[in-house]
Parts: sequence; structure tokens; C-alpha cells
Amino acid sequence: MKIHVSLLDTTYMNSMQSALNASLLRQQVYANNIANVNTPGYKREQVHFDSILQSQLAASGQSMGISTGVVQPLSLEANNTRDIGTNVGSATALGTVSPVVTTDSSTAIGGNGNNVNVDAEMSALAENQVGYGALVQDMNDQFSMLRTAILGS
Amino acid sequence: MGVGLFDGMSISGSGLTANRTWLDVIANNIANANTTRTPAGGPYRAEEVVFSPGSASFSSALGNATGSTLQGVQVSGIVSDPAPFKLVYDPSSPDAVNGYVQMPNVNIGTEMMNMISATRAYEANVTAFNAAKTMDTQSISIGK
Repeated sequence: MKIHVSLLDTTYMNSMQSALNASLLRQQVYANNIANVNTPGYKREQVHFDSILQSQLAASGQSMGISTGVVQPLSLEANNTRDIGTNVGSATALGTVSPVVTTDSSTAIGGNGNNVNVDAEMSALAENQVGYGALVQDMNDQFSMLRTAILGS
Repeated sequence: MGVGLFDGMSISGSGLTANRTWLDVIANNIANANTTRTPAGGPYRAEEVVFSPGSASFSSALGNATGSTLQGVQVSGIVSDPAPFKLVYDPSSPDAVNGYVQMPNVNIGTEMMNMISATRAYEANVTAFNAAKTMDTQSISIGK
């Protein structure tokens, strides 16, 4: 099977952008949990993104970063008709994959109704930070290739 | 949901402010652990901070108004500890009544424990702040 990896793969770029946004949001949610570690009654929040993006990619018959043959339109639609490139179809649809924030209402560890586990938050924060760096690096590599293709040097 | 570039730093910043305030209150309690005369009369009464979600910064207030729950933390109040004063037998003290002196209700053990909690929480917020800062710096390098 011939695999086309387009330099101007907007599906890829848009899903990268979604992932970057989700990662930034995740950082803020972890920071907020950590800031409220001693707030009585506070319940930690969590971000769901990867599973949503994966199910959207699976629904469209794609895997991250590589488009095989004809790009199938995604079942997800753009939220706003004024979004740039709404007509591109799948590319824009992926760009609109939004992370979902939910509250973890499980029982508290301490007696004050707070269920933030600092160890878990700190390690998740570190993991997210490294992941974000990888995403940025990947995106920069993509732009670098694009620049090379355009300028020829 | 919009994700502001610098929101992560202001959230952690609110955690830094809140824990520093807590540390100030703890320091004040420890400093006054033996204060038997206050302007209000009587011995010093220990103070405690009350944390609640939310902060005074504009961006978080705006975020709150637009539905975001990420608003950081704030010290919503500093309240007096209602615990009774300790009575110490010391007839030589000028504050003695029937040989007993009312001492502040500051529990040094509790204060030291809280101090460690506040310090650790402060450090955790510094780490989260630095993570946000690194990520923001990486963001503005995209495409360079």
C-alpha cells in the first residue's frame, strides 16, 4: 500500500494543535488542583482528550499523523461555520476536537472533603510538561521540513 | 473552552500567594506563643486561614464568569481559634490572677506541622508555575 504523507497535511497540523491546547488546559487543571490542595471540600478535576481524539481518528479510519490514501471525512463537525477552512472537511473537524474537564467526586483522602493527591498531581504535571515539549518539537520539525521544501535549503 | 496562555501561571501564582499568607499567619502565631497582653486585652489568640477556590485576579474572575472552573485558590478569611486559653501557674507574673496566668492558645506542635504543610504546598506551586512557564516559552518558539 502506498502511503502519502503530505507536507501540508492539515489534518495532522490540526490534531497537533488540538493536542497542544489540551496539554495547556491539562497543565492548568493540574495547577488548579495543586493550588487547592489544602482547600476544604475541593474536588480534583481531570481532563479527557486522548480518548476523544482517538475515537475520532478511528471513526475516520486514520491514525495519528499519517493519512492513508483518500482522507475520509470525520463524523465530527466544526462547531462554528466561520472557522477557517470549514470546507476542508476532515482537517477542520479534527481541529475542533475539544478536551473535556470533569470533576473527580470520589471520596476524600483526608477528613476535610478534599480528594487531591499531591503525588499523583505532581507526576501527572511532569508527564504533561514533557509531553507538551515533545508536541512542540514535533510541530517545529514539521515546520522545518515545510521551510526546507519551500526554500530548498 | 478557551485556553489562555498565561492562565497556568496565574493559577499557580494564587497558590503561592495563599500559602505565603498562611505561612505569615503561622509565623505570627509562633511569634506570639507567649504574648499575654494584647491591645484588645487578654492573651494572644491563635489565628487560622480559610482557603477557598477562586482568586482576585481579573483573568480568573473573567474565566469564572465565562464558565471556567479554573480559578486558583485564595485565602477567604483569617479566623481566630476558639480553643480555650491555657492556664499556667505562675504567681510571680504581673498578669497572674489567683496565681494563674492565661496563656495564648497557640499549639506549637500544630503550628510547626502547618508550617511544613504550607512550605511543601508552596514548593508544589512553584513547580507547577515553572512547568507553565516552560510550556509558555515553548509555545512562543513554535515555527521559529
